[in-house]
Amino acid sequence: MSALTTGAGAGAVLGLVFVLLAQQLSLIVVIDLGTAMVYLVVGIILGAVIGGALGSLLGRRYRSRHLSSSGPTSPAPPVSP
Amino acid sequence: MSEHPVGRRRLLPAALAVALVIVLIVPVGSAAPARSSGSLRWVPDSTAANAQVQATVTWNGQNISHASSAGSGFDLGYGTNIDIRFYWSAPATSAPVPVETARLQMFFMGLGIATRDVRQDHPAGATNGTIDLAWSGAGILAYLIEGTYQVTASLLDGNSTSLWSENFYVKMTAPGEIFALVPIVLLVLGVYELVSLARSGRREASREKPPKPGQGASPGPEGATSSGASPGAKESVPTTGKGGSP
Repeated sequence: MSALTTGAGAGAVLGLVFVLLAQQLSLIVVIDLGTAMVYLVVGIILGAVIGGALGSLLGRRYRSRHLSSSGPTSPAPPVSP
Repeated sequence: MSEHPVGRRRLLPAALAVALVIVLIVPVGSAAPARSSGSLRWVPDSTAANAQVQATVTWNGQNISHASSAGSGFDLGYGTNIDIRFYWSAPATSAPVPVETARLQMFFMGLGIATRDVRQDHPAGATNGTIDLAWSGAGILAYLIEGTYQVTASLLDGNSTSLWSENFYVKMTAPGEIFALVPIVLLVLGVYELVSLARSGRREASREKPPKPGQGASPGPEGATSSGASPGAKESVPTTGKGGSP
């Protein structure tokens, strides 16, 4: 799994958890099923998008940092065009 | 080969979240306080007619209209004894009404999760009456969920047709304010997913290792290549983490 899909999956679950937790903590009060489904779906989609973006960003950052830090220790240049 | 354990690891919290949603969405009426026969005072009459009913319901002496908004809901904690009383009457000009059941139903996201009825054994038409519904707290639900929920108080006839109903709100509090199962599971799941999200970059980097200088275009299928081919390259692996490639 790439960082993007890992982040998207984690974000989707986090979006779901956020909606349910907000309901449990009385931050939102959902009365009817339609509104509940809208909240849950929006939470999942928003979480997946934000999580995917964050995962991709973290993956790039980690890769660049990792490659730059492992560059001097490795005898050959790690990136080949 | 190494993607299968990672995929399973990712599937577990997702499956847990889906199961949690199903548990929360599917009505758990069986876990709710069961129907019971509370004390029921009845003013009998002989004629039955389906007329409109006017009613007032009190929650420990307070009219439920005081809790008509989510912010002003009644507290429903663990072990709290609640006395709910239905006062109803038919309009003066109408015929007697066959009120048979007084019902309280709690809703979670639009679905009933708890129902409590008081039923009259021998319904008869009447022009007014009082029904007591004693409720000893939220029962097992107090250990499961907390939050603000809508409750509907209604009066039904023998065909379970609603003659009157009114919505109000209750605020469920867990034992010790926090020891409800669902919020705890949600918090643990959220922390797990946050950690998973924070480590997603590292996970990808450990999956896609840069080509080692000792290896050519064809990576060896066996793990022996990592130990025998280039001992210097193995030294750079632990920078990614403790369990890079066992």
